[in-house]
Amino acid sequence: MISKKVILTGSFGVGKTSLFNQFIHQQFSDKYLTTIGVKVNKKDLDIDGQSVSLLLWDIAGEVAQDKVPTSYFLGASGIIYVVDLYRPITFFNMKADVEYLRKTLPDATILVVGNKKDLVTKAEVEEMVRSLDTKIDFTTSAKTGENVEALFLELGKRLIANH
Amino acid sequence: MKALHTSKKPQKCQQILMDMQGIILDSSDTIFAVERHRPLTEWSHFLASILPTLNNLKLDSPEIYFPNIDTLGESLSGLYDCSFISAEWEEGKLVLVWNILDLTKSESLLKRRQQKSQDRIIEEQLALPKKNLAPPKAARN
Repeated sequence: MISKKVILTGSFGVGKTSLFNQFIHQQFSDKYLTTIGVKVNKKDLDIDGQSVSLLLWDIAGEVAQDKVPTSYFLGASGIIYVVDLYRPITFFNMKADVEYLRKTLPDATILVVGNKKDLVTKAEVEEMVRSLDTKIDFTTSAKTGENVEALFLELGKRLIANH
Repeated sequence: MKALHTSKKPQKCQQILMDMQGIILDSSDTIFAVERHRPLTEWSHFLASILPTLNNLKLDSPEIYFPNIDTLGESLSGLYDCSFISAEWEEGKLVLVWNILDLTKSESLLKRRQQKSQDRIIEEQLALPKKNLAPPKAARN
């Protein structure tokens, strides 16, 4: 069994904990509850006959990634950087944040995720994605579960490939 | 791993000594009791995820500090500051020292304050017009 540390990070209120809870427990709550520090949990996946254990760190949201304690990043193989499609101001630091994460963890797989797609139209998502110069790899809805499993499976595949 | 710890005790600090594989050698058992000679990684996803990094610690390495860890292990939620150093044990063997500070009593106050502040900011941000909030490409280069 391969074990990989994966970090969920991004600004506060973008839905990191909701993605975490949807993926691990298939649960969602509409009420926003802030995260203090880090919650750690584990989920095992079977990807094309290969078992991978994702050790997920759900980190308290910060407006910029250089505010996150650097120890949290130690040993991480995967990063899910989340923005809120319904609150475009959360895109502001995206480019700088992703660059910072690439510099901090040059060997890690980084996926950029636009969450809360249930709150915006497909046309709005397309317009937003076009207007940005940082690629969004996945659009998800932690509320409906859309693309959540697919996101983690894709990350698991890439982590196995890079192992 | 149900037998690993018992209910929490009122003390604030605990020190656990373990080998590089996360097997418990000794513990002060001041916050929670642990069974000796069992791998802590079976119980703590937090430790399991950082153990490969801790294995790189040398005697002269600086302490690694992890603030505000929400759940140390199965059925042991709360809020804890954790730090790790390596130390020399019997026959010069390197071991890990895990220091834990229990901040659980402060958690609800911290949460209340942070929640209030973030709720206010999110409300203000949602009141902003949606169009053109993302900075144009040229302006960000």
